Amino acid sequence: MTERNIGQARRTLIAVLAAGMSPFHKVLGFMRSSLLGTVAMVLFIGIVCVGLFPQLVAPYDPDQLFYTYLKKPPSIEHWLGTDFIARDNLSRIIYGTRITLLVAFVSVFIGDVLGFSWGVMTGYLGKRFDLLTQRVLDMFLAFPTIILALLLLAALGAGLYTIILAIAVIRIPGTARIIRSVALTVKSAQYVEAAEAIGASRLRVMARHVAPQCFAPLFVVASAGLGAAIFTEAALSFLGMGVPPPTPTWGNMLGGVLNELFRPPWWLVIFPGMAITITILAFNLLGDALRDYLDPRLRGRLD
Amino acid sequence: MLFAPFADSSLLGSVLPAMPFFSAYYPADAPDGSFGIGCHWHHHTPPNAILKVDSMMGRYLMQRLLLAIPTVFGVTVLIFVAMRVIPGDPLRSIIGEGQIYVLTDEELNAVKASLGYDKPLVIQYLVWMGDVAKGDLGYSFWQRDRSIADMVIRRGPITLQISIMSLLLAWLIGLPAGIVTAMWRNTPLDYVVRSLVTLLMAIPNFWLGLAMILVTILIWNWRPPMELVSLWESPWKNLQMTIGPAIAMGVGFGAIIARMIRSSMLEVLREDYVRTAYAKGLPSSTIIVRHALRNALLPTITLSGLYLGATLGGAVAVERAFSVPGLGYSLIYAVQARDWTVIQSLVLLFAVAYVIINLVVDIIYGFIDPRIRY
Amino acid sequence: MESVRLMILKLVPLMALIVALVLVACSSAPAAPQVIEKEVIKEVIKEVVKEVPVEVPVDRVVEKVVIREVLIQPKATPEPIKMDLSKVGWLMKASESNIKRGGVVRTAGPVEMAHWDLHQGAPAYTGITNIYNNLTYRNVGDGQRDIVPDLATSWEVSNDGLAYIFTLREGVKWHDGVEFTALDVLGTFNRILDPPEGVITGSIRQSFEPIEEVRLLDTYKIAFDLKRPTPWFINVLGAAPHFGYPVIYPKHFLDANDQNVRENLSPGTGAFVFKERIPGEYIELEANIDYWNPDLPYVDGIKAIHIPVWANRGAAVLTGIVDFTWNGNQETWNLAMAQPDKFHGSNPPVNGTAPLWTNNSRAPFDDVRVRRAINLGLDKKFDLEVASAIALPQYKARWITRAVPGHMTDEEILTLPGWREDEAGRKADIAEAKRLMAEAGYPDGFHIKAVGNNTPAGGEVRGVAWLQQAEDILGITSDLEIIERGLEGEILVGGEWDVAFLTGTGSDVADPTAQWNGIFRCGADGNYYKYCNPEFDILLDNLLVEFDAAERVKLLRQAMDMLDENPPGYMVNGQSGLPMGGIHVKGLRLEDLGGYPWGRYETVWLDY
Repeated sequence: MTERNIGQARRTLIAVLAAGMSPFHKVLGFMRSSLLGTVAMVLFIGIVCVGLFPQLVAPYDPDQLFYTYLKKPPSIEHWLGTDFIARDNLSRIIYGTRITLLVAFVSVFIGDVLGFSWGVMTGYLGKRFDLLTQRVLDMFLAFPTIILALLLLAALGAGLYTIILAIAVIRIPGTARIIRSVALTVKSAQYVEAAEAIGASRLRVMARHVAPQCFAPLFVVASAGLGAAIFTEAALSFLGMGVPPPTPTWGNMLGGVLNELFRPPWWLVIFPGMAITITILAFNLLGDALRDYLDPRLRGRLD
Repeated sequence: MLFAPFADSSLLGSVLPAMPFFSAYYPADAPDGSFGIGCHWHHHTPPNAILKVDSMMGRYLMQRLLLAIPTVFGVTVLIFVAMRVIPGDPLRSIIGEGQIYVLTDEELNAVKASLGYDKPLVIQYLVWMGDVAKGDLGYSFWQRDRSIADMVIRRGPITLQISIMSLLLAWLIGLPAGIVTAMWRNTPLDYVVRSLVTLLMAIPNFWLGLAMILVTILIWNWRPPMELVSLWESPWKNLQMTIGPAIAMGVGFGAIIARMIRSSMLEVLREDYVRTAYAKGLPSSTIIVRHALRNALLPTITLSGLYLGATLGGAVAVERAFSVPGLGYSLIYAVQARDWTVIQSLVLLFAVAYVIINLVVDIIYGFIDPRIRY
Repeated sequence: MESVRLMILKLVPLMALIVALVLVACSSAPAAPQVIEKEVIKEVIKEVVKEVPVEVPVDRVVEKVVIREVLIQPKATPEPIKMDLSKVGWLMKASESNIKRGGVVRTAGPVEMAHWDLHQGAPAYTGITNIYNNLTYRNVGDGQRDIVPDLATSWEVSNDGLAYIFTLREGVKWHDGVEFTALDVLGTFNRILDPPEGVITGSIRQSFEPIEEVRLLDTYKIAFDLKRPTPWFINVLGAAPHFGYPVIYPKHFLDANDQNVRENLSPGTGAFVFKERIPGEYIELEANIDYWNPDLPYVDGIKAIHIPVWANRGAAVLTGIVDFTWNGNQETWNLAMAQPDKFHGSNPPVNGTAPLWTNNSRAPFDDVRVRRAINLGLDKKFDLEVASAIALPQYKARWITRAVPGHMTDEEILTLPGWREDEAGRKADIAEAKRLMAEAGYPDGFHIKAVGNNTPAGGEVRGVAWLQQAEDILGITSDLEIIERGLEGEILVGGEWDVAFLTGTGSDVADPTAQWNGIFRCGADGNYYKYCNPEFDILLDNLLVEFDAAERVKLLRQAMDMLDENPPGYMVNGQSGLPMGGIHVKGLRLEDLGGYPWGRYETVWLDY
């Protein structure tokens, strides 16, 4: 009882403080709180910009064929070399950012929004609703991620929309489970009880009181989920179940290398992989720093 | 999903950073409705918290077991439904090498009948379930003499072996790293190791595999063997094939283990009773081993169990990168060739294995977790 | 355990609910079979009137073109390939003298098969042809050059070239002990030519189309009556390895298995007996001690290991995992040739080609000018480089492969428009291509639907490169759809495509006539291009019966010109094969192959 009240008081305090600050100051505060977070944020913004405006960054068109430069190593004209059909590697990596980010953001957004709603509902509405939907959740959770994605892709055919769908579907149960835990916590808070006592409809209580408390954990979940989504998309493209050619994604650039595996051209292996690593790293670090900033005690709440 | 913090944190928050092939299938709530694992429970236990061992434990076990059954059932239905949503009719043409021949309607119907595809869906499902119960996993759709059960028996061990090896490797790397960074907190060593750990977590495992192959080919002209050899027949050859994927997968998970151990140890080391122990004059090593490590290991072991289950299927990309003839590779091949029966059976196998392993982990957990035990 | 019981009670309705939901969902949407209409058009060639335009068949009956009554006048009177009398009583053997016996030879290749029936499309290159014999064969021990007797000890041809009489070998036993007789040959070919329901021999039947009837003359004598004198008939029987390998199957097995060899492996008469197979891994054969050729085989067994990735097969030879492979890729083959003390191999031409199909039944490719434009405008050199980088090395081929007598050499080809590589020539070709496009009404190019299969040599790499070129040079934009190999036939027949990058095709003999007859003739079964050129059909009729070698060359040259003027699609490459093996692999003349094998290798021996 007392423990609950103290925790509640703390959170209310922070919420009040945070509400008072302008967004600019919030960001500034964030940057000051963690150097690593700042670096990650800059990297994040950089990657997103590259994804949004690849034309500005890339030296060439990613589909352009350089007829005399088939499979050439890095050189002055082509900083990262050329691929099997004489396209510039660097440009393809840059344009690959777009698809990778698109898939990651959209699928995480869809999956997490759905998972969030579900989590709040089951957390708040309780036993009966909980029972039914939890079993369905468990069903999806019983698959290793990639296997579920492969199943969906085999059934629906590979392609951009299918991949987004597959990754989104995978994210729903995990997110729902976490948000549900948080919602369960919030459910027994005093102000929620108060709202119920004065006769607020359940929907209203959910939307106005329970849900907002779950936003912060959602952010953290989503930000690290981005890293996972990028990995899953890369793995699926690598396996040939991703976005079909000629669209470049980092995963299918790596997959294409397997055609000639005895002495693979190193520049076609190293650089796309580095792109994936750096992106996932940036997203992970940003997520960590964000979570630290938003509420260090949240660490203890995320289960 | 739960994500490991970079800084110090409580045990609760220190689980499951962005592991791509994990769903957050986690040990479920305790019977009294509270949740979470480890030492920190944020909800009051019911007034009659000290319950009888048998009833609490027994209830917990039964609950877990009973929950697993509809999950498996639901999984089979999901797989079956997914596999019947097939656009186009793949039976329409037969490809001989270099020739394309299109079947006439009668030929098509004959082939369909011989496969039992003309019966209603429900019957097909029941027949399939009946066969699986008998242990008959059917035959490959395109290669009618290739028994799936044989394939599983032949290729399963190598996938399992790689999973286990990668887990061992992960512990070998992660445990010392975790302890070191916890005990020498905030020293340069700590920062270096933690940076490494973060980096390793971001590297895609299949890319690491490709890079490893690249290095060995370009420098030593050596390629891992492609023929399937079991560990008993020829250990040296087998290891040549399995050590690569094991490293590629183990390194990533090792990083996660390191993080987890670090945070949970730090958590525990802050506790009062540890300070008491120090005050009592107990040697550092005893404290570390008997108290800190013991509590820290708990969730890590749970996680390892989940990892094992997940990597059975989740290692597909790594198997592809190394051309290891394991079950994951078979699945990829089947998906590309639209081999419905193989896909069905393998996905079922992976999912059921995952559920069973989770169940086992839960049960073990039930024995270990003091809340449930006492 | 009260609560447990309650829990179960709660779960049962839940499960029932799920089942009910699924049933409802599934029962309301049964998988509907897709019906594809296939029109078979029978044409009677009577008389030709050049001015009449031909309506290309789409989904209706074709407009018949009347041509003169058959006035095929071959220059030469049919002089069929008579048997080389020096080969009477000949038995296969290796060409070296100091032969050592023993050992198991290991090979690497695509040893994946959907079923066992070689006449229904099971691939012959997996190594299982070592279990069988044909009527005639190529001299394996001498690099696949001469035609030699196999199950037929000798043959005679009637003077009009219409009847081939084979005398069969006596004392041959099938692996299960039954005696081999002419009934087996009869049963085999009757099955190929007139299969019962459920047996599909379409692809191999194309090669044996000239056969009118097979007649039993005696226990060990059989006759083939042909519709017309056919120059390559003997070759086909022992044919090139790839496609529709005409092995002889035992009648008693066919009868016992509904004429179907798909499910169960049939016994053979060959040098090796089937031992074991692990699907997706390897096939093991062991030596047939009762082989009718007492000298063979030299080795104790064969292990054909399945290695799906092409580059890995050559790698397997280089790293000693296997003894030899028919499928090295350029890179590994080069590495092997650079070590002549350890490896040897050769580069014989293959009968296979990889044409790019264009759908000639609809715009824009129904206009011959557009087809000529793409053949002129695209950079063939680049295309070949890309194709070669993927799997097999490709060489320039002007409609026929290097294996065919009468093919053009590289130097000759390079002088032709469309093939020229010098700057001025390219410019001229591109200009002409653009002019043609403009004339056809597409000065700025057009948009097409492209289909490619999911292999690098098909849609994934080569198709992408080709389409990009087409856009760069001629303004042809496209939507590329990648499809599974298993769906290729369906898509082709459906006709909803403009360009397709699919599996290559091949001919069983070093002569394209039978293949052209199957895919280029108006209304032919395999004519997915929907190409129709009556003049070419007449040329084909001539080619089908012309025996004079010089005359054939002339006709083939004419054919090449005709196909350039009115292309059915885009074909620029023939494939090479790159067999390679350790220096200890002898008996096959690996270093000096006259033709591309991929078939039996019973004369192999290992010189350790």
